[in-house]
Amino acid sequence: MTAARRRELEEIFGADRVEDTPITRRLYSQDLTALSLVDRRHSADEALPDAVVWPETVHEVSRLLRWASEGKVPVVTYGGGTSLRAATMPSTGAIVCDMKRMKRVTRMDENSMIVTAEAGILGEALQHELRLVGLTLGHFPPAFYGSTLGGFLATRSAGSLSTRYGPIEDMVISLQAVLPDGSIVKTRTAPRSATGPDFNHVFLGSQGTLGIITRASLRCRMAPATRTFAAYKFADWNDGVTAMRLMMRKGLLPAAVRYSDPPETARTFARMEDEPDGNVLVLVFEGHDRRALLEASIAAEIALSCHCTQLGEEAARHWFDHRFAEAYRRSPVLAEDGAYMEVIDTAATWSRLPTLIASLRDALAGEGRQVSLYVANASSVGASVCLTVQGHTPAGEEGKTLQAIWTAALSTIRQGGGTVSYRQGIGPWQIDALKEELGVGYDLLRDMKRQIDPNGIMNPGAFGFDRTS
Amino acid sequence: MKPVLNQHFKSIEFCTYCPKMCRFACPVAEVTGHEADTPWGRQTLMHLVREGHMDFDADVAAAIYRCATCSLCTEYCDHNNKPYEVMLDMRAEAVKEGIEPSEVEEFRQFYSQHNNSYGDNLQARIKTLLPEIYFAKSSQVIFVPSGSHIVHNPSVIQDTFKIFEAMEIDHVSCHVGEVMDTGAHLRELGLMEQYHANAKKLSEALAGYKTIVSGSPTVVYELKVMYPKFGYELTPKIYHVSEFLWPFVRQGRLKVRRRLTQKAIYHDSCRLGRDLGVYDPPRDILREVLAEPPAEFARNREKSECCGGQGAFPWIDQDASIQIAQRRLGEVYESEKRLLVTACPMCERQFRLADEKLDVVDLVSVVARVV
Ligand SMILES: Cc1cc2nc3c(=O)[nH]c(=O)nc-3n(C[C@H](O)[C@H](O)[C@H](O)COP(=O)(O)OP(=O)(O)OC[C@H]3O[C@@H](n4cnc5c(N)ncnc54)[C@H](O)[C@@H]3O)c2cc1C
Ligand code: SF4
Ligand code: SF4
Repeated sequence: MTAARRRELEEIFGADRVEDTPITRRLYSQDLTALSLVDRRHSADEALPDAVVWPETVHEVSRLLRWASEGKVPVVTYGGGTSLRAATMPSTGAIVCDMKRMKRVTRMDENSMIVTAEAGILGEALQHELRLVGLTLGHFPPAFYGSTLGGFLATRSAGSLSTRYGPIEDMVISLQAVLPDGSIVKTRTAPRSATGPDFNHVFLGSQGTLGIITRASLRCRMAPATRTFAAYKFADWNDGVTAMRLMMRKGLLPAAVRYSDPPETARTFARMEDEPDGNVLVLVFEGHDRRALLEASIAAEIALSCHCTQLGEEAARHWFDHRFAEAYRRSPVLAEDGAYMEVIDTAATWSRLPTLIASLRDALAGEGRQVSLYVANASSVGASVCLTVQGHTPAGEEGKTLQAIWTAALSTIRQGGGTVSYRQGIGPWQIDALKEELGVGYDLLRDMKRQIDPNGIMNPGAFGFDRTS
Repeated sequence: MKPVLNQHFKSIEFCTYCPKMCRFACPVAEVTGHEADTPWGRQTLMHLVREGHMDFDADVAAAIYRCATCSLCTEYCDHNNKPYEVMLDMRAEAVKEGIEPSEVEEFRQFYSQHNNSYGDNLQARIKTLLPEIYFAKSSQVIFVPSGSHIVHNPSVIQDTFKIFEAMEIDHVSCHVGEVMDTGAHLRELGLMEQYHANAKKLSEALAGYKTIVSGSPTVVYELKVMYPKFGYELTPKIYHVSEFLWPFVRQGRLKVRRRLTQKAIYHDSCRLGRDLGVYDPPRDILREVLAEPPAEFARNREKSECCGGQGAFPWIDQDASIQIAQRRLGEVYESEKRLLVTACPMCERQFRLADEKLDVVDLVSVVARVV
């Protein structure tokens, strides 16, 4: 970075919140995307940002973006950097805007059960504040300890209890964001409005391409008074899917409903003493005690009508207690040279789901490779599917293998009528599939991007929009 | 340097591929918001160095000194990883290679000048604090005073002996000698040559006793855990003052005049809690002297948050270390006015620096108020 640019940034942030040392640039050049992690084993060539800055106020964010727009400097917004979709990987010369110093809870409206917090707050820090007043957000994606509110919003995140509490977009009441020209937009904190299209949704899932979200007001719930657990084993995979569908159709609202196939079951319960095997459905109901018990008993009737055996509470309790284990399990696998592990997610309607799952299994199967999956986050309409693909290749081949896995997965999902991303947003390798899924909508998205960000400074490359598109 | 990194292969790789699951708990990362200050960040740097993608230079060395060694990350790690162990070993490597931050050299000089981490002549100062009889060598139990208490809060040492007297525990003498500091900060900053010389002398001086007691968790941890690790096995049993006192209190030897009616909140120090596993004795003692049991921080015991004073971190970044203490104090301000009680001189100092108006009291001084 030139000395003049550095000086300009220092004018906004002060010298101690602008950094361009090699180690800082290097650490901010990567996220947790499997493709880049395996590539890094064999090469150190990465696009490095010019500098990293840490705003503390919305006005600093505004000054940064105005400055960047004037100088046509790319800006990458960085939350926790836990994206699996290369969402914070900067282009060379970018300024990374790390939001984690904007992390205050600015308002706790216990009466209306709304919390307002700055976008850089970590998931657990926000939940901690809510816990102290007997509330919960109910948003628990596995990497929640390491990721931020801004990241949840910008990727349309969903968590392990989203069946009951909804994914992040269901929680957002209003937000504040800074546009690339430095102007600050705020939406109104009201239970609902009919004031034209909902601008919250412009920023939800925008992956840092339209501006920087600086604050959000979110709907909270009462911390659950009780929790009930149940688990069922199905001899026939499709019977379990049917049981889930029937439960959701009846209007049951479990906090978690998670149905795993045998390899996923083995992984999930590996640390249990009497671990279950086979196709296992875990149910967790929580909230008001009488309602939770009643819902659990209706769920049991439905499950048993679908030819299953009852496993008791333990397995469900185990899953709940270790529900973040999914996030830890990458490390022991990826620590080995030649090993790869990727998580692919989609969602489909009940009518399409069984066939889609069967085709995904076929498409992804391969020599020396394990494919496991679970169905979760259900509604009366359908559910999400999360697949983990893991295996070994000769060292150096991991990237190619992952690319091939993605190609197969995306084409199967498209043919099977699923969405190319259920949560986490879109990585560069999903752009073609995104274009096909959005159709004309993709052109509209590009037009909107041009209108809001004419200089193309915000997260260039994301959604396939480079600086001139 | 490579062999050390290879020895920590698993720890380094697990963190490198981890979605930063403990970062919210890392006090340094929380106050700076910098990825290099997370356990993931520091370990990723080690990974890059090990893989040959990055040099082990002064910048990397500076990053590895930015861990307060509070061990809270391990509490949230499914793999029971201990990133701080890597950092400590690599600091010694940085010193060997002469790339340690300038603050480390400043500390080395400071230590050489005073023969301790706190300044002042501890040997002379301790003699002014207690009557001569406490320095008699005939006793089997030796109290090793904290250098921090001697310099910053000497009344705690006087209170300790006042309690011993009140409880008729008359067999404890106070350590005084050429070496008054365990050298914990030397080790924590990677100055291993000086650490060994210091540890050898102090362990020899303490060898003849049956029991060692200290009001400083740092002292207890160093003598009990680190000295043996580095080859200085001590035969005496080693206790924190709260562990030492509790059996006497239980026997009814503490005659409480009137329980304190002031409300209090107890802070677990990292060394005393996570590193030594001492959680209950301080609370049990407080219950005997307070009218109302001490309140708890929302994150307490194993999950207690650091005061920023651990691991010689204030020597590396005093501002950040104080911000860490202020962060911990947030909860104390939110509630009605309370005494903040700890059983660690380092925490007391940090909290006082963070807010001089705050009523921070050592556990023994609380007890001394009622005997
Ligand atoms: C093991 C593992 C499991 C995961 N499981 C899930 C899961 O179950 N559900 C799920 O939803 N996700 C999951 N993720 C993905 C990831 O944790 C989420 O996408 C998370 O929301 C990202 O948050 P972050 O703060 O880390 O954002 P980052 O990774 O820092 O950023 C993600 C994107 O959001 C943008 N962004 C960040 N903050 C802002 C802001 N304030 N304003 C505008 N744009 C911003 C960035 O520019 C980037 O494009 C998982 C990740 C891992 C590693
Ligand atoms: S210590 Fe454990 S939780 Fe923390 S980064 Fe390392 S592997 Fe992850
Ligand atoms: S020991 Fe404490 S300061 Fe060091 S990395 Fe772990 S949590 Fe952070």
